[in-house]
Amino acid sequence: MTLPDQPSDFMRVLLGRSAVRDFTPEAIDPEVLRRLLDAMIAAPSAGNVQAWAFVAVQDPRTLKLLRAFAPGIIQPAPLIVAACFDRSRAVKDDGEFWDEGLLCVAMAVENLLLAAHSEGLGGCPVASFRRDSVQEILELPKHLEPIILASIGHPARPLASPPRRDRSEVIRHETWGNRDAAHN
Amino acid sequence: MKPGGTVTQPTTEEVTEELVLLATHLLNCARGLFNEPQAYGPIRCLDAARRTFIIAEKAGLRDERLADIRARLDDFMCGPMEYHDLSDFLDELCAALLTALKGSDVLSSAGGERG
Ligand SMILES: Cc1cc2nc3c(=O)[nH]c(=O)nc-3n(C[C@H](O)[C@H](O)[C@H](O)COP(=O)(O)O)c2cc1C
Repeated sequence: MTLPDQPSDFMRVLLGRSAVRDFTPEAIDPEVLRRLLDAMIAAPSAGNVQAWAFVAVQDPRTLKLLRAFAPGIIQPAPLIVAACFDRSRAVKDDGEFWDEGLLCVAMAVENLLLAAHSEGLGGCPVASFRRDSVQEILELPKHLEPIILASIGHPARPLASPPRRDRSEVIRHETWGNRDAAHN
Repeated sequence: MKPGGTVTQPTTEEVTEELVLLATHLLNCARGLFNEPQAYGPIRCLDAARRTFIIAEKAGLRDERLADIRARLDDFMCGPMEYHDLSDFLDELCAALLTALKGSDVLSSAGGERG
């Protein structure tokens, strides 16, 4: 198999995404929204349990309330998706706080953000918010715990990525003791 | 802006709503700081200053130097998260703010501040 020397469109989407925190007021097209949400729930999940639940919010009043209780949302967005862990479907049996299901919620949010980017939109995952207030605003039952609020919309400024740690610092091959940079 | 180029003044109700939401934001920041990394504290204050300027501008503030400062705050908050020296940046902003305010007619000479 010969590998293409140009990155595929998908790789361009992966490598071109960055957090978008400033949005134009333009609403999200309903058909685009449907595609984003489909991409979100296409994410992998431990044991295919899909211990997640999502609330897509576009109502201006609810958006204002959510932002007021979420210091991590910097600018108003036309769409906020609350990604929740469904504790009633926890992967583990012991009812501990930590559960693989939390990782699955994160994977779904990453799918959502990449899908948004591929549609010319942008978004930011936000973990700085008051959980019990969001629970109340969205009328979430107790077993649905909001984990991430993803604010999404049309970017109001050019995308810019913050620097990454050097790949040689965070990636090694075969064993951690192997500092051979040949692969890097 | 309206198509004719005139600035639409918000109603008192709109400004009041923004202020109430800002107060809510501030209280949530205050509580959140007990759980969040300490380094977030200055960032939350900086962002609250930015949000306050935005409301003031909506309410009619027209001051080029203050608008420049607000734009720098926007760039910081909405741009990529980089770990440059925040205390230097804040020193710079406070100095710029003092210069702007000394020469600005935003501050009236009448009366004293009331708590
Ligand atoms: C779990 C998680 C929580 C985050 N919470 C916030 C947040 O509350 N507010 C915010 O502005 N950005 C938040 N971010 C976005 C990060 O700051 C951002 O992803 C990081 O700076 C890397 O930038 P990039 O996404 O543009 O590559 C969060 C990211 C993750 C993964």
